[in-house]
Amino acid sequence: MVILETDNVSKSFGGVTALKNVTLTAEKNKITALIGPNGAGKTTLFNVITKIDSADSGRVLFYGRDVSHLKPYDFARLGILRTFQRSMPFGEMTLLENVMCGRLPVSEMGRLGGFWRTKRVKDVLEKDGQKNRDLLKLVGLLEKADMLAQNIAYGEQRRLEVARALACNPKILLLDEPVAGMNPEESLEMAQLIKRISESGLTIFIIEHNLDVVMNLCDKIYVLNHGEIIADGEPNEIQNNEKVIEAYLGRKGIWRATS
Amino acid sequence: MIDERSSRLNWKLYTIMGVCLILAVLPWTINPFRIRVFTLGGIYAIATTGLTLFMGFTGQISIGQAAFFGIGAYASAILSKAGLPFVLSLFASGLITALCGVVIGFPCLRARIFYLAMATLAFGLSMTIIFKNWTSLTGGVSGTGGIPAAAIGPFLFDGFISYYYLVWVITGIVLFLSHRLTRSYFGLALRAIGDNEIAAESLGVKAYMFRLISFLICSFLAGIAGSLYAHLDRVIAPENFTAEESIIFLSMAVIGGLKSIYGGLVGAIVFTLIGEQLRALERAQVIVVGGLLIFLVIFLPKGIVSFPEKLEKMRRRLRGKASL
Repeated sequence: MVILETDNVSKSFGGVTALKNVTLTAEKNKITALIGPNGAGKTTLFNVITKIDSADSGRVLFYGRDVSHLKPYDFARLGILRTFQRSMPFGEMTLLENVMCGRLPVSEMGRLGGFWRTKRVKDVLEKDGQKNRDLLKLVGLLEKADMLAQNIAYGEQRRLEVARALACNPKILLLDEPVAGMNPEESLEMAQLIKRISESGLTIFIIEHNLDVVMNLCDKIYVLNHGEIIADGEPNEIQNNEKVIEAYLGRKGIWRATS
Repeated sequence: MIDERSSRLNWKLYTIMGVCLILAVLPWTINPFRIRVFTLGGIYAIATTGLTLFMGFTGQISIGQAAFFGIGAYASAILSKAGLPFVLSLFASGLITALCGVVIGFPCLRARIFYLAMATLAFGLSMTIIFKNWTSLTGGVSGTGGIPAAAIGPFLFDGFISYYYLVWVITGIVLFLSHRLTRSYFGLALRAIGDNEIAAESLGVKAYMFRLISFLICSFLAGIAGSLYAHLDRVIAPENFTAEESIIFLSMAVIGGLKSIYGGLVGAIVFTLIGEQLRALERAQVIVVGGLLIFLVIFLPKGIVSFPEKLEKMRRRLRGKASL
């Protein structure tokens, strides 16, 4: 079942075409990846999907419904959550508070958001708090729950962001280069985390640069180059696609030789 | 862990009780003129708390607080002179000011930080001109006098001491409600916006709407404070609501500490005390205050409320050195 779909999405900045008729789909409970060299337009596509940029033409469909007219803050309630290439935790909050922020759109706190500490509010706080701690445990940060987000390591911040997005009960999670700038150890941890999340029944759409991670993780891969989809298929198909190899290395064969 | 939390709670409770006690005893130990000054401190604390809520939590800048303070004062003066009871006039002027806040904020809050600062500064400057020239409503340059004393039911607050208590009780209520607000999910959303707007929006927080609501609360509190100010000397004039006053509010909020809801209170009290002690210096007072501001901004960028935290850090560093 298709959850998220872009239909002929195009976007240009000034005279530069960032996306040209991009059509792709993300299927339920699968990990779909979008790969491509730097500047191929990957992040632009995420920004268009979540309306941080708006597309010049084309539509974005979520469960078959056109969501192109929505505002950035509408997507969390729909269940489309994303992380950012440059990690964006709330630095001056503790990790627990960060995750609590993810709970904002879905909490049963009510209109006043817990202004009065009534019995009901206390119950909700208790329940939310437990869920938030579970999420921190899932990403392996529970013991740092009371630290400020700006004081933890970069790789941990990225995992925190995932936990924060998960707090929102997403239907699909968009991860923008989740292992960018990480050392191999951190990358591996992140890949395992993504695998675990996916196995718990969440649809994941991932932009990635690191081919090792993508090849081992994903069910379906799209390759973007100069704003156009040049190939799509399962990892082993992509691995042997000459267009892809050329896009990545400019010359045939080298990638196969080095991998 | 739990011990630490409960001891911190106790520490907080003792501080609050201590401050309340000092404030309660204070008027019996000083002369009426000084009581008036401390009453003014309470009034400023209300307006500054509003500013802290807006600036500290959403990370924006407003240099127009004195204009809202003035709107509240004039609204209250006019309504009270028309015979409206004090409590109604207090709330009405708060609401009128909040309405003005929304009208101004609606276009201006699309701008951020420095551009918003410019927009609010322009608003403040133009309000001063309006206060001075709309003579039929504001009494022009010489201002409005003959404002009746505050009264709640049969109780008349026409003395320095009684009005002092009235103001500080209201300040206490405002602080308590603001505290609750910052602890709610609403406060959390505000902090998220102030920290990173794009990330906050990706989590479903309507940044613009939350900024507008927080600006509304900020101007509501300025309106309440203005109303109390009008009933203090029972005469108001445009020179009390100039851009210079806005900058004083801004300074109070910054040196008190923008990240804590009590920053406004601390800033207002410190400013009042300094102004009081340095009265003899007359004009040189501004230089001393300015120097102090620079000192505080450099050494305590998170405001005076962060002093215990800073002390703890320094202690740890010293201990670290000693163990080497």
